[in-house]
Amino acid sequence: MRWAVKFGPSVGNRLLVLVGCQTAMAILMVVTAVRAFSSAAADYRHMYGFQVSSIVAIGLAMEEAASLKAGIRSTELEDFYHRYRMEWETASGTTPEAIRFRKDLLKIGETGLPQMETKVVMDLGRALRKGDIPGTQENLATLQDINRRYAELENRAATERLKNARFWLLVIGVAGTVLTWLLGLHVIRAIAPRIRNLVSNVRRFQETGTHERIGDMGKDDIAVLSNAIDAGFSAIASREREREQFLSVAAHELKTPVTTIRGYASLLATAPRDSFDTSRALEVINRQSWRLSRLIEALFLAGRARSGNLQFKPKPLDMSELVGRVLMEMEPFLSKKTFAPRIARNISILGDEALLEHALWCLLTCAVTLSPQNSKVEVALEGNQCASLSVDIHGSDIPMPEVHELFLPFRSLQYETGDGMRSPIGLYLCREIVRVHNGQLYVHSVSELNPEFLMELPI
Amino acid sequence: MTTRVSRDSVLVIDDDPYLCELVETIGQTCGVPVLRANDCSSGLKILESESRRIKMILLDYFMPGMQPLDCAGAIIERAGSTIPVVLLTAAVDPSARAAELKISRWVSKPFDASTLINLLTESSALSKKSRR
Repeated sequence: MRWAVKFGPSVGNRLLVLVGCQTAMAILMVVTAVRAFSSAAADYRHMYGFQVSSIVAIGLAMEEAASLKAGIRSTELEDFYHRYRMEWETASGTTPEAIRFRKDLLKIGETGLPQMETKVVMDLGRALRKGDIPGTQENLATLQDINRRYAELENRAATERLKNARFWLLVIGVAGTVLTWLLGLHVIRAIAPRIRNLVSNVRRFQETGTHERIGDMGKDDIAVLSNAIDAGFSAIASREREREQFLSVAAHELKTPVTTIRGYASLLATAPRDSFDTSRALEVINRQSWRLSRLIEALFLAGRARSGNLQFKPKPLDMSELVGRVLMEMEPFLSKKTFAPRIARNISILGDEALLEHALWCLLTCAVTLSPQNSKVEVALEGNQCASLSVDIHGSDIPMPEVHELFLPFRSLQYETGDGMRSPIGLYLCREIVRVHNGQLYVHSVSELNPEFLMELPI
Repeated sequence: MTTRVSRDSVLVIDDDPYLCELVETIGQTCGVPVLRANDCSSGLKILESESRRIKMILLDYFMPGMQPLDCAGAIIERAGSTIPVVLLTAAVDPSARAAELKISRWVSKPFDASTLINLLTESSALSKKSRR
């Protein structure tokens, strides 16, 4: 049963059945041929060893009998008689060939011949004992006729057996060939269209980049392969969609600061200086350029994180100071939202300051984006067993599953907040940076509408 | 550069405060008053109260608190046929986005000041023509 479960209709098993069938046919043909040839050889050996030899011996005995005078006993004839009884008498022979020959005689209805041989041999013995020369000659002549007839019948039986063997070889050969063809066709029909479908699907994907599910419902190796290809292609297609979405979001995000930079720059270049506040224009250009460079850096780091090449250069740093600085830098970008910081002093860790600064920007940007207007984002840093930064959002109406999705690569917030800050890389980069620091970043729901982000870094 | 004085105003609805400020500054240089809204509902409120002053609406694609199609639909409905709506978008495919929102005109971000000046002054000229 266990074997039957394992022996499923796989391609290998189908081919094994096909090859097994061919092998069985070949073995059957060889066995049939060997048996036929062995049987024919035995028949001819028997024919020579018994009938031909006995006919020759009978001939010599007849010559001996012809030279005898009446009433004289011949030792040679008596030796012949004993030898014939011992070796050549078909009716009483015990060799396999003699037994088979008797069966052949039975089959063709020649049962009288062995009886006649027995009678003639008995008569010959009596004639020899009496010195009856004419009787001896007559019996020897009859015995020779019987043996000639035996030889003739045995030759016919051997020929018949060879004919039968040829017939069966032909039948087995034809049946084997037909069976092999049928099995081959079955294997081809079971495999070839599916392989063609698979290949055309792969080619279509190569040429167009679009993936149509192969959906092979079988249970064999090809179905396993098809499902694996399906999974692979759909992962590639999904990555491609993700990449396109990312490029689209990245382009959108990059265009936002570029729009104001270009707008103010072109205004400075063409409009009269007294028609607008030029110092404000320069300030906006400066701020937006800084924002743009930060965005580009974040996108670059996200790309590196995606390929596993995030370079990590740790040095001792004051985490309290870094968090305070980032919060201060972000303040100008906040409108109608504020941070409520609670930062413990002098928490030192071993980390990459540039990377952690990006991580904090990503995390705090997401937190601000998720928080409603006129709300406070609570930021607390503690340093007991590890540097633990918690970011609490109050009154967020964004469902938790969507917040969790922000940890996926290239997942961005689809909401625009009016805060002048957006993160096109979601929390993916943040989590990757924390991960290279051997820390962890996660989000949990403190209560309804109150998600809390926790960043923990080893001290 | 020609600077025209017009009583007609342009309403810009964009969640990026820097962009609203830029449009307002450009409006100053060509004498077009600019009304600012940072989200769709604020834009609808301004449109309700100041519709007589507004000659053109510059609308961003993404708006906080409302889906783009709903926001554009509400703005277009409130604006009626007299106030043209122009889509301001940083999307890769601005024409497709405009068609999606059933808006016939669009300006792709980033743009330079002259593009917006031409748009605002065209609006002023149109409004003057219509008043005659």
